[in-house]
Amino acid sequence: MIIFHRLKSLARWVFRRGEVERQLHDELESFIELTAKDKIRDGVAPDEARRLARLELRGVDQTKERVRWYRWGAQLDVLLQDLRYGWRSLTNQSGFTAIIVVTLAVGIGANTAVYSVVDATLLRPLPFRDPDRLMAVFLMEPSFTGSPSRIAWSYPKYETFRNNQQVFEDSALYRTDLINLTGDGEPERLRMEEVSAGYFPLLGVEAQLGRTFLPAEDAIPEQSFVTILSDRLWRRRFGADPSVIGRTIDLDLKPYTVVGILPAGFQALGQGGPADLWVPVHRLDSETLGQPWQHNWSLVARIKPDVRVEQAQSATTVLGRVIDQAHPDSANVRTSWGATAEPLEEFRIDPAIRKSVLVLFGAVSFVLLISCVNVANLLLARGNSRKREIAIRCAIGAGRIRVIRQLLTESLMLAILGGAASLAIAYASIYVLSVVNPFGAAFTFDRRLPGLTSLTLNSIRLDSRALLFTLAIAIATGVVFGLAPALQAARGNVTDSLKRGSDQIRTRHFMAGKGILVVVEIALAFVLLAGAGLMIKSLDKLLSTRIGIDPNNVLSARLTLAAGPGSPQAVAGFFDEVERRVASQPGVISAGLSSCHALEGRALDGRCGENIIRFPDRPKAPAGTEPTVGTLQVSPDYFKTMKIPLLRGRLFSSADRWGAPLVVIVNETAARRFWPGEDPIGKRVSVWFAAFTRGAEVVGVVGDVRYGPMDRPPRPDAYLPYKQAPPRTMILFGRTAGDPVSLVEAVRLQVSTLDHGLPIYDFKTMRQRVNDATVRVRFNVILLTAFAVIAIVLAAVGIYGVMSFAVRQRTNEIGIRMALGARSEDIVRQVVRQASRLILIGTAIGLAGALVATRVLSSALYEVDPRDPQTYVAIVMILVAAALLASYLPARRASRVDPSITLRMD
Amino acid sequence: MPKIDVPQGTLELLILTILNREPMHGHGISQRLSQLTANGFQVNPGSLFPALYKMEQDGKLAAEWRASDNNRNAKYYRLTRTGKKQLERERERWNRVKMLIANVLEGA
Repeated sequence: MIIFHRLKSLARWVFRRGEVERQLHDELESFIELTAKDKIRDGVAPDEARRLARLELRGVDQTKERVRWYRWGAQLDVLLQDLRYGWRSLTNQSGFTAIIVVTLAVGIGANTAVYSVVDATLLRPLPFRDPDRLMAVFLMEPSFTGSPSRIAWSYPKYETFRNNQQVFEDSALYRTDLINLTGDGEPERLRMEEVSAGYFPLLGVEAQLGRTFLPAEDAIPEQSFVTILSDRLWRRRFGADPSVIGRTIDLDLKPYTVVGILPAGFQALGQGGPADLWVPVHRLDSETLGQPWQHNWSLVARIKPDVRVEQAQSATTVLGRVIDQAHPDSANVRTSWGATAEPLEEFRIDPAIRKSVLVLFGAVSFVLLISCVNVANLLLARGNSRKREIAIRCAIGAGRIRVIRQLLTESLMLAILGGAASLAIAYASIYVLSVVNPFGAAFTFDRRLPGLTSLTLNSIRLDSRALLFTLAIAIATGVVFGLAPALQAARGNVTDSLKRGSDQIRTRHFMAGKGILVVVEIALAFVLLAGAGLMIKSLDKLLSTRIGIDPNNVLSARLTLAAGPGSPQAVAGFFDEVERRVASQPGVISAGLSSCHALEGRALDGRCGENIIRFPDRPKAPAGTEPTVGTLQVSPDYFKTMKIPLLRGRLFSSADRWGAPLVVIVNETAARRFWPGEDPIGKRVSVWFAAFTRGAEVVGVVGDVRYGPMDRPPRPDAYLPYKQAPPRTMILFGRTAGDPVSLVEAVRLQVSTLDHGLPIYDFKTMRQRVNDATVRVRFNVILLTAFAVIAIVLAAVGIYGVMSFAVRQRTNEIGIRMALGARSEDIVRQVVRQASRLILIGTAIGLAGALVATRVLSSALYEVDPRDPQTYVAIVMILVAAALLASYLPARRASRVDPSITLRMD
Repeated sequence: MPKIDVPQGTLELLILTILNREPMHGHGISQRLSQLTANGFQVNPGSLFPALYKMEQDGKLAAEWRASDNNRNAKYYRLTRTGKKQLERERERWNRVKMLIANVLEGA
């Protein structure tokens, strides 16, 4: 309540100051009057009595001043006065002010931008009801090779889990897939999430229109075909028409009734990020749902309020054994499956992205530190030049506290101006970030970007938390880097400062402090330069990596046949016709088909996954040690279209079709690994994929292609003729003579004349896909380089500032030396030598720091040692050159000093 | 016997106690204090007024202008409810301090 009274009194002070002051005056006057009256009664003469009364009060004005001191309002007055004075002195030195504000804006702005990334990716609570009570539950699959891995659930296993557990309040399955939307308008390939009815209540999500799924709609297989749309799809495809509720739409050629629209903010948990629509798990038939070994769904569960996370985890481990017993692994030799649960929070961001976010945050805080050091430098230098002004203020009665307060107000004003300017920089950076989307872009259309990662990446924005962060940094900067100069200025001896020339006495001591700042700046800049240098070299290595294909002038797009009937021959025939028609387009050199493209990324599964390879002529390797090959289904012309060289044997031909003898082409790595020193042509292998399990003949060897991430060496691959094992999704490639993008419309037209309802999607040139594969690395490089450049510029400005200041301080001494016959080279050499010492110390410390700090980069570096000597030599040279230049300029100016002028100055 | 300055931190307690009986103006408070301590305590008006203003600002005292005994307008302070509560708290605290100090002095 006190605050209320204080505010009232503050308001009175602000709005009715005259009255408040008059009352205080009256009160004190009446006190004197009454006191005097007492004294007169005691026999003192009236005039004397009045004098004594005033004396007793120890001065009317002093008492008023003391009373005012307690008033909030009066404090406000002092503040306003400080602000006015500060503003005047800042605008008087607009150049100085501008440099500081820009320095701070760059430092703080970059930090705010990176902070909003950190906040979204690592800090902000997930946008679900009580997110800390949510757990991700996994099955554990014993691995062929190393440790068991987390995998998804089959429906029967989930039922066992659900019926036997006691620690979770509720649980829900979810899985993402792509689905064809047909009917009115252009057919589309959409991302759908297949979920339990309990999914939405579990996460605390309600429909903005209509409703979410009813338990009854997710209880009996193939009974309810209902769907919920995302806000985005609703607006884009249905023009936000509310009457869409109750209407039916065709998904994979089956009618589904729309029952609800989700709110705009909601994003799926499942792989790949934002889903377009949701369907219930029980749309599937009972056969699919009854397969215990079809591990399709992820599981999210909410722990009961009185259960601790660790309890839920150990309970899940026990449940794993129950599930293992209920569904014994009879078909396979692998035993001891299990289950595990982790807080959902753990999966909010891909670990690789987390790491690069943290590295960037570290780098950007270095930039801020350097900015702060620079600002402190400038403030110190200015504090020194204002010594006389401050001394005068002290001499006419300003208290030390008052002077410090004044100086602090000024540096806070600077910091807040800088902070405000920084918002523009932060805002622009976030905008650029959202356009480039460096993290998301690395994962293409149906790439397996974890849903939560996508969710957190999509939530990067400048919000109130980021603004608070900026404000906090700005104020901290203002206080910390304003305090030292303020204290220093206020400590000065008044008479000393009023005397001219006394500054020089202190120069030595003063320079030591500023010298440390220069050393710190150089060391920090060194570390940033080292990080950037290593990343640049790594990127260079990465970009010169041979992918194994020629990505220029190739267009690619995906085609997926809707799930449904269709013999393998019919599927193959359809794709064959598409390929033939595209190949005959004008400007097309050749066209090919493959189940995956080069640089698919980190998670290769399904179409591009690895399968066990066995050799009938050799003894079978024990389970868990059997070799695997990447398996791709391709058309004969795929190799020609991608310019993958044939090394031995032959390529596929149109004769390698359904029913013909099964054949396989292996890549160079497979040939070398499986048949060292032998010719693989004519050898028999069995690849655990469709009919190829029964055995096939190796007919050719082709060059290696990197299908995984760019930084991973090629794995052994086996190409199968797609007509002998037709997939439902294929990527179509067309090599063109001119710009491949010009082919897009022709391809779309050809596909729609063949099958009107078939979407063709994810059009990209191979060049784009290659760029996507390196976008994250390039982004890291660009940011680190930008930070390093800012750092080196700021450091150079700092050195320049300090050296100019030092030179100015010593103008006198230099003048005398020149009068005594020193040449200007001597003066330059002396100044530069002084700077060199600082530069060398800073470089040495920076080198040591960089050797430690860049270790965190080692996993992000490709074929570059974090201690790469070449990089370090280059950095030392750049940094020393910049620093020497920054100190040479003031030195040269010093050498032009005219002794006759400087000596007359004092 | 020389006058003693009001011990630090007790001025508020003394003001609250005096005003608890009846509203009073600054001069009255100072006189009352001298009376009650038989001139033993001396309160400097230069600290009295800031203390009064601070307490008024914090809502412990309320003030109004009225004519004083000798027909001069004076500012009269009285306790508010917050002030009364404060007085109780301060008094209790003081009693404890007194007791503890006495304990120490006797025990030593």
